[in-house]
Amino acid sequence: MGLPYQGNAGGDMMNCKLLLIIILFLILSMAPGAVTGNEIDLLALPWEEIEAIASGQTVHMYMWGGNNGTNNFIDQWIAPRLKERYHISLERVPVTDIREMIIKILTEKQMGKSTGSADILWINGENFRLAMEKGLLWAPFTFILPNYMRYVDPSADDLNMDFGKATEGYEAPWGKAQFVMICNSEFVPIPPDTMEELAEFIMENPGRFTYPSPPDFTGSCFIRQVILAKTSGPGNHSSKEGSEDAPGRRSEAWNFLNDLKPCLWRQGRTYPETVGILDQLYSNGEVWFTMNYNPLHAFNKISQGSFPESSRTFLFRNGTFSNTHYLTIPFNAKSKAGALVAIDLFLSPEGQFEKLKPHVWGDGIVLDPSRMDPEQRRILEDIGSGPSSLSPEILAMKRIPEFSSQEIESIEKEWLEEVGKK
Amino acid sequence: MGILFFGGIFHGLLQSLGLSPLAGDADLTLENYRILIVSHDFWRSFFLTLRIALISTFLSASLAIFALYSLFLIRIRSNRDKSVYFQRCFQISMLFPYIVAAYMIFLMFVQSGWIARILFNMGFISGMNSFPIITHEPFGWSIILAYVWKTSPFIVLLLYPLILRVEDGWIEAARVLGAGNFPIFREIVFPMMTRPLETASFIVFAYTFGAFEVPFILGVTYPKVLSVYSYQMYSSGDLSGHPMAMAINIMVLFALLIAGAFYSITTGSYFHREDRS
Repeated sequence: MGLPYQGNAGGDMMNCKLLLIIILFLILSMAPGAVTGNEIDLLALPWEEIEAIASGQTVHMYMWGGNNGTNNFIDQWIAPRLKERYHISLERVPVTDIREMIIKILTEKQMGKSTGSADILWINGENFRLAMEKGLLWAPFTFILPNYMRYVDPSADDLNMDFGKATEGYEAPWGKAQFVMICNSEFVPIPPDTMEELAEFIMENPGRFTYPSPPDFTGSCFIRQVILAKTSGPGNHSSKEGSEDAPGRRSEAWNFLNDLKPCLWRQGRTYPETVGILDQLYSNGEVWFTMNYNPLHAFNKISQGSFPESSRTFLFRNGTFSNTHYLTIPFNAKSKAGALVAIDLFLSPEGQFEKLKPHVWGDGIVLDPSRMDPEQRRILEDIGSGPSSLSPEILAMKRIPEFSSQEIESIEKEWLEEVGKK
Repeated sequence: MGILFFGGIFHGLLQSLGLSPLAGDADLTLENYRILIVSHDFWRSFFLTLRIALISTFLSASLAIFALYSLFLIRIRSNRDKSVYFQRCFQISMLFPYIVAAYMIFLMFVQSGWIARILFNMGFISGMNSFPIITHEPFGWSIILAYVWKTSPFIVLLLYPLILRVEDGWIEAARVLGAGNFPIFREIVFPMMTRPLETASFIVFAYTFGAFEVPFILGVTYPKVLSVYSYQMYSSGDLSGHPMAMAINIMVLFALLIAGAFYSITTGSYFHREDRS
């Protein structure tokens, strides 16, 4: 009795092992790791082969669609060149907030959907942080892009740190924006140089200044400028020292903003909900200042005829916040090779110069001029703008990296409690 | 459609109870609702929303009745076709999306807006600052204005067929008995309208209570109406605000369900009434 039993047991063990192996095999072949494994191989290929794979692919680029200049640049400059040179079709998919797309990809990941709808995402800051934390991005890919390797300074902190979060190559820098102040020189002959001078002017001319209320991005940035002016001297700030602006130290900024209130538009009882409303008040002449995160905003608005010709852009002496925006590839992109080739074109000197032109978009370049040849540098210098704007050199001198996205959020919440509600 | 609609509400309900598929952790909790109910901010938003919705509904219905009376006069004095034509004109504002209506109100009524400039240039006001503050003030007049402008034509549209149902014979009979235009309207037309007017007003109330665009553009920083308050929670940096935003939305829905129940109780059983148009 014992032997057959043992024999059976042996057979069962064998079967069990076989079953286990089969199950393991199934799990391994189903796991996303296996799929990713193949695609990591894509990054091991020489660039020419990636281009060959990309040929004929359709790339879906999901991006905020609120700027005509940006949209036209992609539709009329990038897309035709991708088609002509690499036989890649670029489909621009406009969204009002890329956050929605991040959440969609997150849902796709939870449902185990390995082919998603987006191939390229235009993101930065808290959306990048969220995508990284949830593992929604494909892989570090910047090292394979020829234009990135040739023209981008790999040690530039303003490119490698995205609102305090290291990019680790999961996203490629595409452009730079910088916060600027705009005033109407007809009423403000000498633009204020510091936050104190601005406050003085506001006190002397009540009702002519306001800022958008957070979570409007531009208004939130103005508040950070106040915090910067009140909590640290020039040059003391770095986005990497996350806890530098402990809540206690912000109280001075809140006092400053509360003291200004009686002299703000509507005595500070309310604030414009968006920077668009502030722009409209500025166009109407109801306020004399506006602000923007695009240094060429005033230039563009004057060209459209909605801002007075006397509009001038100015900065604060201790600098203004700047950030970089990026292109990235989701883990479940269908056309990864196509996305890589497209992103490389976005980083090409010609693509970067085109988008820098004020009438195209006016977005700052991410390439390092010292890595360009003299001919390219000459082209770069020729791209100028009108008297309403500041030169790229002046902007570059006054550039400060952004706070971390968690810090920004806590500032926005605190502003509502300490200033907005009072 | 139904699945999407109810699925969305169900998903929102789950999220508001802490069962968020995105956050990863799942603890069934009423904590979000508890925080809301004890929150001063929530109730300020709630009563602001309620006040704006009630005033908008009342003004919109009043204006609609006035318009209907005018259409009725046109109808009995000249002819049917002419009143149909005027009725079409009343509907122009229905062509615009709410967000456009809000922006137009902003452009016209802000202190430096079109109306202030016209008045200034004609010498009626001494400066832009003497134009009254209508947009972005805590009472919400401009929000109410936008809602009344948009929703009163809707009520007219729903009730206008009743005016066409008034037969000439009735009017002649009333005249023989010595009734003027207004008594005819009050005694014959208006009683026919009360039930559909109640329904239309409830639709307007439900819409204005939950709508977003108009108060987003014309409201003040604090307090915000519930929809904008919820949006602000939802769009804050990380995902932690989502359950709270959903809890606010569910509270809005709950308030409307209560209002709906109140409405059907006070107006009696709706479906058995015969005077529906």
